[in-house]
Parts: sequence; structure tokens; C-alpha cells
Amino acid sequence: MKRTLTFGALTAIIIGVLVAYQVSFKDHDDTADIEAAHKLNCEEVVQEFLDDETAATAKYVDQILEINGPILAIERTDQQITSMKISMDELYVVNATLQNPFEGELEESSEIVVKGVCSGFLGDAESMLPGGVVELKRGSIIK
Amino acid sequence: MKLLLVSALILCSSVVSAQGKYFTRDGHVKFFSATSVEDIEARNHKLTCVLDAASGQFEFAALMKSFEFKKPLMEEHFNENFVESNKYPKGTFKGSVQGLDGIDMANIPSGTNVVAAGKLEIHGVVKELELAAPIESRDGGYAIHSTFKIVPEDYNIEIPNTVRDNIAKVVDVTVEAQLKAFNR
Repeated sequence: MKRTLTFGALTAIIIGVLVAYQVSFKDHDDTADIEAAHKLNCEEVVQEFLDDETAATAKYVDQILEINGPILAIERTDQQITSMKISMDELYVVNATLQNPFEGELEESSEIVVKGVCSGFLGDAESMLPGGVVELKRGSIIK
Repeated sequence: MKLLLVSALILCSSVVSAQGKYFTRDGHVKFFSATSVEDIEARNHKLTCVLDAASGQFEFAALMKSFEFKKPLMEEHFNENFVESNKYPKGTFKGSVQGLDGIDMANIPSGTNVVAAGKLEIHGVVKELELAAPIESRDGGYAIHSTFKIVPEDYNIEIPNTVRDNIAKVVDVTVEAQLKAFNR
């Protein structure tokens, strides 16, 4: 009986350590493999934050959003595309950082669909910062 | 005569431009915590910055949830336990650039140092801060770079005992941004 209990306790400890190790060293999930919680146009999502930031924050932050719209600007690092702004208006944009640099070609003004984790909205009429931006991280280009 | 007129126009346009606002949403801010247990680094590539070249007023802002960590558990601890991102979603640094007198804002050479003095707000705590900030004219705007240190405890960021040895008492912060002329 004592032997069974010792064996059970040891097994539980080993499983616990393995689970803790896995959780601690687990990588981020690949956004491309996760279904988006919401699919929206870039103007719609920015407008929702402008209309009611508290409600939009509760609805969208930490969620995976699939955003479509025209590419306003592209950021490159070492010739690879690492982030982009999606909008028709330079003041009000969705700014998406990609999970993995994109090696293909994209053109400004062309339509794009990007998925990413929404980290919130930055925009304050009382600050010096112009306009507003919805930020996505760990983005993935859908098309 | 024509050449003189063109030169005068170019000079005037650069002066007008240098007195306007400069802006980016693609600034980088990185923090680095080094301990004997582990090194932790987080990067945010969406730092928003605006500088009024005429007055020297500036404002920087970053969403805390836009900081990206290598491991999701680190990111979760950072947002939920340390900086409480749901309650305090952004960090800001607002103030003015000191020592602009005598600097030709239309053509700041590399190696020019100014002082950025203002209020840094993190985790709902506001602290006065003065930073040495190298600045130079680049591509019709300004390139800025600054490194400084912050003490999490100064901003009421409590580190739980279980991970106290994993987080440095003083964290290195690096800021880089290329501000472009903004005409709206």
C-alpha cells in the first residue's frame, strides 16, 4: 500500500514538472492556424474604437481579428516585410506586425486580408498624437 | 537669378518643414532584464511618437499589450501580473526637448545630443524623467535614439516572490524612431 502511494506521488510530481516545463517553454501559437474571432473592414474596427473605446476594448482586445482593407504603408527589415498599415486614411489605421517576416512582394494601395492578435487602440483627442490606431501583433497575411 | 530664386525656395521650404510636426507609428521600444537566472527581452515595434519642431514639445505612447515576448507565459505574466495592462493599457512619455536654441532644426548633424525632459507614465505612476537623446536629421525628418534605465519598483510594479530572482531590479530600455514630416 505504502509502495503504491509513493509510486503515485512520484508519478504526479513528474507529470506536474513536465506540464510546468511545457507551459513555461511553450512557443506562441501560430496565428495562421487559429480561426479569427471577428472579421472586419479596417474602417469598421477603427470606427468602433472611436465610438466607444471601452466597449470595443472589451470586445476585441486579446482576440484574433481578421482585417481587410487597402495597404497604406509597408515596413521592411532586411528587405522582408515585417509590418503594415491598413487604411485609406493615414490618420486612422490598423497597424499589424507580422509573426513571421513576409518575403513576397506587396504593393501599397492593394487590398489585403491580415489576421492578428488585437492589442488595443491608441488615440486620444486631447493628446498631441494625431488620429488613432488599432494595433495587431503576431499577424499573418491571409491574402 | 533663376538659380538664386530656386535656392531661396528650397531654403524656405526646408525651414517651413523643420518648424512643423514630425510623426511615426513605427518607433521601436525594447526592454531588457538580465539576471543570473534568465534574460528577458520584449519589443514593441509600434511606438507612436510626435515632435513639434517649433516648440520642442513631444509625446511618445505605446500600448503595453503590443510588447512581444519570446515566450507566451512571459507575456502573460507581464500583462496580467506586472503592468496590469487591462487597467493601465498604455505607457506615455510627454515633455519637451531642451537645448534646441542654436540648433538648426533643418539640418541636425549626426552626434547631436539634446535632453528630452518630461513625464513618464507607466502602470498609472507618473515620474519626471530627463534623458540624453541623440537626434539627427535624416530623410527629411529626424532619427532619435535613446537608452535609459527604469526601476520597476518606482512604478509600483510588484514582482511576485516566485519570480523575483528572474526579473532585474533595474531594466534597460532602448528607444529608436524615425520621425517623418506630418502635414495634416
